[in-house]
Amino acid sequence: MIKLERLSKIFPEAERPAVEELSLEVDQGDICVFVGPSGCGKTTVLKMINRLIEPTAGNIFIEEENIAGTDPVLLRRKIGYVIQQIGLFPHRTVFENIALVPRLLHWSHQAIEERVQVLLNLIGLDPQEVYYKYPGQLSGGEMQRIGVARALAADPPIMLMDEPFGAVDPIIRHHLQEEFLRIQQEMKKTIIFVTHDINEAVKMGDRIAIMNQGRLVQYGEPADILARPGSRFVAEILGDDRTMKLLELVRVETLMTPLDKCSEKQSGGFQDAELQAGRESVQNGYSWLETQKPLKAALEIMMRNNLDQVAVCREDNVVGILGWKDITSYISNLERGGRL
Amino acid sequence: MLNNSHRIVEYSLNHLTLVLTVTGIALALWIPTGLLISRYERFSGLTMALGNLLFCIPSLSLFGIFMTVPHLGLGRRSAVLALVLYAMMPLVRNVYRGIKSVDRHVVEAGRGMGMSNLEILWQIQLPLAWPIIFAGIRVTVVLVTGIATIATYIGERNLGRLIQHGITRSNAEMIIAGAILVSILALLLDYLLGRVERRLISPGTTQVGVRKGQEESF
Ligand SMILES: Nc1ncnc2c1ncn2[C@@H]1O[C@H](COP(=O)(O)OP(=O)(O)OP(=O)(O)O)[C@@H](O)[C@H]1O
Ligand SMILES: [Mg+2]
Repeated sequence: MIKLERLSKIFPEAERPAVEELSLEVDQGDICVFVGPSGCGKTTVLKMINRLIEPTAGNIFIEEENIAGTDPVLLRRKIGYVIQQIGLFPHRTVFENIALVPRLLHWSHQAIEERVQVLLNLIGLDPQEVYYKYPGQLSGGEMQRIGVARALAADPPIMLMDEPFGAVDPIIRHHLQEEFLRIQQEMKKTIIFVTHDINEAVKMGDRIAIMNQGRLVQYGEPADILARPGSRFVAEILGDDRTMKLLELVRVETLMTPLDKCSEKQSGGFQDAELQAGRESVQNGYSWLETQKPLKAALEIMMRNNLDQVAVCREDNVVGILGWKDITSYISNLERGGRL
Repeated sequence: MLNNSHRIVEYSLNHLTLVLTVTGIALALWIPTGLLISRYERFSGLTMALGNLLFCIPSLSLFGIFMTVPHLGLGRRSAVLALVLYAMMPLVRNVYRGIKSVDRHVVEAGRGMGMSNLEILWQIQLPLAWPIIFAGIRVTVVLVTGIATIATYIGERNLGRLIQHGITRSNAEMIIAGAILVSILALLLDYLLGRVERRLISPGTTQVGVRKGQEESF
């Protein structure tokens, strides 16, 4: 757990604080994404967490321990850091770059070799191909991935990632995001992730922290923020398609009516027998999708087949029904509940 | 003739040992100085101004001044001291410039990953500054080899003596022979340093090395 407590940073001779009275908590195993316009203080917050920058006021706690009292060098070896500018060592090979922290920690040579192999595979680079290359011989996307691998090398429980996928094209970026989320499922690291890109924030974040001019303006789960932006500024950051983003985020299982609660009328389109017959019959006669799919996918199916409801399946069984109305009323309720 | 060539060998060896002594002392003194001022920035202006000032004193007068100082006097000690002072400017400046030229984001990445100041210096700053530092070392060696000829006026028996005698005897051949020998010595030392440099500098920091590495990996 990481806890920031009324954290402020005023750089010497700066007109306004780079970070002002910022408080938040990140739970163990969560990804907290900082978003905000350039210069709003995202990087400054990260650097205060690994003590590259000392706060002017406020405290930071990691696992209940105030980091102000720790040795910065030892602290940093326990925190993976992906710097915004990548910052690979140009005079070291890919292997040596990734091996950096394990070497600092005096791992055995064999353990380091194995770890580097694992990491290269994890980030989707062929060890044969890149092992002895120098950073100058890699593409921007490859360098960025090596930067992430380097930060993961000693398996730190906490990661600070400053625009880790900033320098790659949208397709590779999408791929890296997917890959990273996949490995995070196993790693369960506590991650603070900085980005400019609200889509990336919505996708990666268990929580999103929106910053403006050094202040935290909203903090919460992506769906909550999308549904209820607290200010015009946040709404603008979210973009004018925030409802669509929400539809991409919310899973059908959260809105569906479970089968056992379906009234006769609700399941009107689906005859009982057919429902019980499970997926196959639904597949033939009606449209269905899996519980994990986003609402957007359900809408897509309904629109394409001119339906007003779809069946929701888990494995081979129908477990619920989701209607067009469920979605629209969910959205309009959110809008009414929201402050904008 | 035999006597002459015997003397030339003696002069050359004397010249070489003077240059090596000066280079050794200068490196031991000025590289740490350069490193220190790159760390303690506020001393950098003054230190480099001092280096420039020393560099601007005409060499003959600097040798002359030290000659009059008790304990230094005529001979090697004065020569070494003066030449070490000359070496200050190119060495300190290049070390400082080299360290400052290192991409600060690379340094920050290292620090952020838990490298200590010493580890950052040894593992990042020095290796990346090497090309510039080495250029400074090579310039210094060539420079010292040249200026060392002047030390002949305060009693050094080196290749400068050929030139000096050539001048006093209006013997152009002697002057030219001296000048050529000094140049050869300088070029030889520079060549050897070039070989060392190629071993010390990571292929990742030079374009040529990068291309070479790329070929190898296919
Ligand atoms: N070392 C420093 N000295 C003085 N001012 C600084 C320093 N670092 C950052 N700042 C200032 O603090 C503010 C916040 O900077 P920061 O780098 O945290 O922004 P950011 O949100 O990461 O921006 P970006 O998205 O462009 O990376 C900016 O106004 C910046 O100019
Ligand atoms: Mg930044």
